[in-house]
Amino acid sequence: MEYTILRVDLSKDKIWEEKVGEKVIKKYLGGRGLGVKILYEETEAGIDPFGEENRLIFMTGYATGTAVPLSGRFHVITKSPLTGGIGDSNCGGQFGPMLRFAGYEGIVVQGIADNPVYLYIEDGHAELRDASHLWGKGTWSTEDTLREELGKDINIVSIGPAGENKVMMAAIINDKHRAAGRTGVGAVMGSKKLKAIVVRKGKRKPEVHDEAKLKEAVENVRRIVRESPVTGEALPTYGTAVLVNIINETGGFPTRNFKTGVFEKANEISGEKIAETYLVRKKACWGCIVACGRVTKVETPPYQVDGEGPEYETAWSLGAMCGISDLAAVIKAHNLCDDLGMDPISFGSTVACAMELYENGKIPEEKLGGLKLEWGNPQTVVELAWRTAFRDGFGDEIAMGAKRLAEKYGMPDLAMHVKGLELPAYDPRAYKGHGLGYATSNRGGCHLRAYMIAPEVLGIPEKLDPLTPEGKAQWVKIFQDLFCIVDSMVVCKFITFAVGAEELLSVTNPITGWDWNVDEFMKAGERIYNLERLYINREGFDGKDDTLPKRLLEEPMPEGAAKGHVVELDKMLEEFYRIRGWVNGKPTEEKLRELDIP
Amino acid sequence: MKVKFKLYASLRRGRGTVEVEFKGKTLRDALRELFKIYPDLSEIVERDRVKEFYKIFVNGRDVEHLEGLDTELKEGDEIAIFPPIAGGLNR
Ligand code: SF4
Repeated sequence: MEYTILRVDLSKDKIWEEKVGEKVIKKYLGGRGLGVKILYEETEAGIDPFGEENRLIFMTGYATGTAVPLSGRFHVITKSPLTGGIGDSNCGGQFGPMLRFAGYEGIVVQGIADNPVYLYIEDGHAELRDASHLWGKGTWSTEDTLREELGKDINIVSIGPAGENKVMMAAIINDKHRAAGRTGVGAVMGSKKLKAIVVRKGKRKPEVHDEAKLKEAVENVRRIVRESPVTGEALPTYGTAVLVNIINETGGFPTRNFKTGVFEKANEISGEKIAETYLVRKKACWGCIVACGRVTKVETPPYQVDGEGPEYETAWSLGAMCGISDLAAVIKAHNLCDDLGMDPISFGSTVACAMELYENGKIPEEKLGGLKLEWGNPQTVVELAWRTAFRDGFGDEIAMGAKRLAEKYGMPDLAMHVKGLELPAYDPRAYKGHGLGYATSNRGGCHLRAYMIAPEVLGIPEKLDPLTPEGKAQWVKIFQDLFCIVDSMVVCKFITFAVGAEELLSVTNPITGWDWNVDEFMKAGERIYNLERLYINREGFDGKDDTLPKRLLEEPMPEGAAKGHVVELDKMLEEFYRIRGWVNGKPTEEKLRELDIP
Repeated sequence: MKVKFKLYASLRRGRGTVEVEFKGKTLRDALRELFKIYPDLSEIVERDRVKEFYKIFVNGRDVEHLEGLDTELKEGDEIAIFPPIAGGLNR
């Protein structure tokens, strides 16, 4: 196994290649793991996320673009401007496989360009090109312009105005609708004046050690994915928004900035409703047999749009979180976030935070430039998407993210975040283990570091009672380590609705030529999780940051199935640290020796 | 007593919410009445248990963590039923 990495220094206008050998790949796999290794080793503690020294890393893994189903993704790693900790985000679309076919497993960008540029890659060759004519454009128009100039057989990742304006929640967009959305990775790309990366479709084949064995393993995995009720039926039929009703029914659908876990109008923004109204067809990332994407169209004013979505997370963040049930407005705002290049989770959550600050009389009317900040106003969210991306008027304050906004107005507890990253669409008072997952997530408020909703609601791989904290810590650790593997090999997390570590290993060994058992495989995941932890420790995060917003720890859920519940975090955390071999949120020397890091 | 069934995803088939009046006190009794009105829904019970991967919630609590089909109901309870949007792991 060998990876070819493209290195780009924008300050020096220099491009070179670097090889990553078997030894390192065996330790960090690729994707998220290799990304954090490079970031950890090449940057110092306390660097400015927008400075020349920050690295912006695009990384695929050994599975990307192979016959393994759901392998059409890539990972972005950097120091997050939003949190000051690890910034990393996974993205679908086509770019991951296209990058490998064009000659590279990854790209590491450093420095800052004098003028806007884009990186052009074709057949193992790369160059920087002027992008002044693209600067200021949305991601959709950027893609359209580049295709007009360069032809159709290219694939593009780009930033929109949000990234250019260093909006803290800016995203990097692929194929107009797929996003490396979280932790502000788009703002780092903007700070480097890198508008886009273009790859032309190439013929290089990803390295596979034993094609015949891989074929056999892949057939098995494909069968399981097809036969699973989640990946074979629910996600293809209703998209991820199939979760809206079940999460609302179980009392954990965060409504009006997590005041409650039951949204009275949840059905209006559900997957079922989308299927009945605006759905045109489903859509897949490269090589995916699930196709959870939704192509949608709103024909009537004022929210006309030809686009995609919403997903579960956006139906929530641009809907219930702000008390909004107008599905057309939610679709419009979702598509604006894609076009402007912004993370709709952090954006919607920050708007909700502003709405509650306003309700508490903290935001003076004259700040708002005519905006109505009361709950449930769909125009406000649509309008604020524009203003935030362009940092116009009050949008400039939303652009800071919820934590900084709530601090500015003197009510820090109203920001629903962990480590500075806004929480996603599950209220952990209704799913205790999921709360532990939020609190101990390395990148902050995140459902994709340990998806405890799988066991606590969906019964995957077995059903756990969501309302008890007992026995959850060990599960959180397993999910965290497993997801490190998934993000590093790189495949879509949704594959884990159908298969587990054994099946992922069954495709890993034939691709790499290794002869690993499940323990060795999981150890790699654990190593990556611990290296990320070391990275954020170095930035000053420790046990005090492994916590949840006060509301979730102290205010009992007012209604629904979790009525009266808070998250009993301390108990779970103690057990979690013990299982992890950590003290006060930091890996012990002994653990580091065992994992052979840093 | 009277309870309310809420049907989701592929079970909905244009129905949404169904109010059912039944004799007895358990979920099993209420379902028996529901199946009389909509026989197609009887797919959710198999061998006197909630069929694998289907989910029934009484006031938001998975009956798997209550008493299953023996869960006792009270007037006005809301019962949500989901088809398999979950489960299916082969290990
Ligand atoms: S399951 Fe959805 S997100 Fe994952 S690869 Fe397939 S289409 Fe993309």
